[in-house]
Amino acid sequence: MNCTQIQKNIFDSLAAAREALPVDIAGHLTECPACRLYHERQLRLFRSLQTGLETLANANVPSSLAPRIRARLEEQPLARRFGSYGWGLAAVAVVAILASGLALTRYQPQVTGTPLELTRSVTTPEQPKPTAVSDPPQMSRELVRRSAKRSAVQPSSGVAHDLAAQVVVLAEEREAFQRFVAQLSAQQDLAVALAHPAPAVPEHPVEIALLQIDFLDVTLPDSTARE
Amino acid sequence: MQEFVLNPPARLLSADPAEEAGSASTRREFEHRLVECAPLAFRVARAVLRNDADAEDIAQETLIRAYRKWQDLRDPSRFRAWIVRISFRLALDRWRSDKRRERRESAWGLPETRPAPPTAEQIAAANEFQERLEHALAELPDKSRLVVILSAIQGYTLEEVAAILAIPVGTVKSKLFFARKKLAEKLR
Repeated sequence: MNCTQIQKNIFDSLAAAREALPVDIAGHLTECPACRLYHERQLRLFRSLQTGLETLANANVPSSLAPRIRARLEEQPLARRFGSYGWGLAAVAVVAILASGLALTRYQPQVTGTPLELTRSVTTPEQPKPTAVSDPPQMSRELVRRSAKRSAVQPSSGVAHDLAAQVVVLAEEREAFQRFVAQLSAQQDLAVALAHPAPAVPEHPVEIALLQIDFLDVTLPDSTARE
Repeated sequence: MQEFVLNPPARLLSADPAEEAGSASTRREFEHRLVECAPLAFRVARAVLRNDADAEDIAQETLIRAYRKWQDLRDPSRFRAWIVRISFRLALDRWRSDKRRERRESAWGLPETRPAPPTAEQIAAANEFQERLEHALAELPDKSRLVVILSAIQGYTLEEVAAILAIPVGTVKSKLFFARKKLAEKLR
């Protein structure tokens, strides 16, 4: 190897940050003053380079950094993982909503009396189960095709016009909805996210859009049908 | 579609004990990461921007972004790598926009702000060497630059750098080798 080749190898060896030079190059350095001088210069250069990089990369971290980040974090909304528990809860919420829809389609109250009487019955907490509900096995044999909208009682006259927006809510539906709300209290934002994003301002009401079920086929298990 | 407006009771609006506990737990977990990773985010940004104030801004922004996206991170062990990437990317963006602004200003005939060519005494000075090194580092490709910066941060082995960047150790060594060669050639 000539000196040019040796010096190239010295440079590469230092660039690779090897602990020691190869034996043949180290042997050459003991005999060649020019290559020894080259090695010393390059060694100084790479040491300065390393020191410079360490100086650059290990700058003192300002003591204000962490407190400032904490202060900004305080202004941030809670970040939360939506893990398996969240998905499970979301599934429960969906089932609760579907159960409400099913109840609406299966149990349609017999509409008697004036709209005012009906709305009064809605507001009574201990409302008895409507007597107009069909025998479940009998219902199971027919195909139920009813819109969820049918359960909403539309006032036909001007009587109690301000109450027209009210909806007849059966005991089963109310219980299902209470279960749903109970789940909401545990993981409010996750369940609400099914319908709408959680409101930016906590004081704003949470909107829940119920699923609309236009057609629903209901078939009870065979054991129920035999009864 | 039927729509219900549910007005949640006051106890829902106030912090629920379980929710509060979850929040505190999340905060604690993130606080632990913050202590570990804020200096790293700062140092990565500082090495790119060469300015403490800008680097602190970037480090703050990095941690805030990380907190906002905390829920999206499925593997918490990748948090450090995530922070490095966000910080490096933000710092590069800031550095490039500063460069563009400098170029635009000089194109509009503003006085040249570059210092006069250094004298022999200045070149001899250590800070001058440092400045040349930092300029040379800025000219490296982005990936090589990040490898050099992370490798120079105290306490990080090549294996850890490889883990942070999700590349093989051999690639780290190779990038480091070529980067050091280029830097040395420019600083000769």
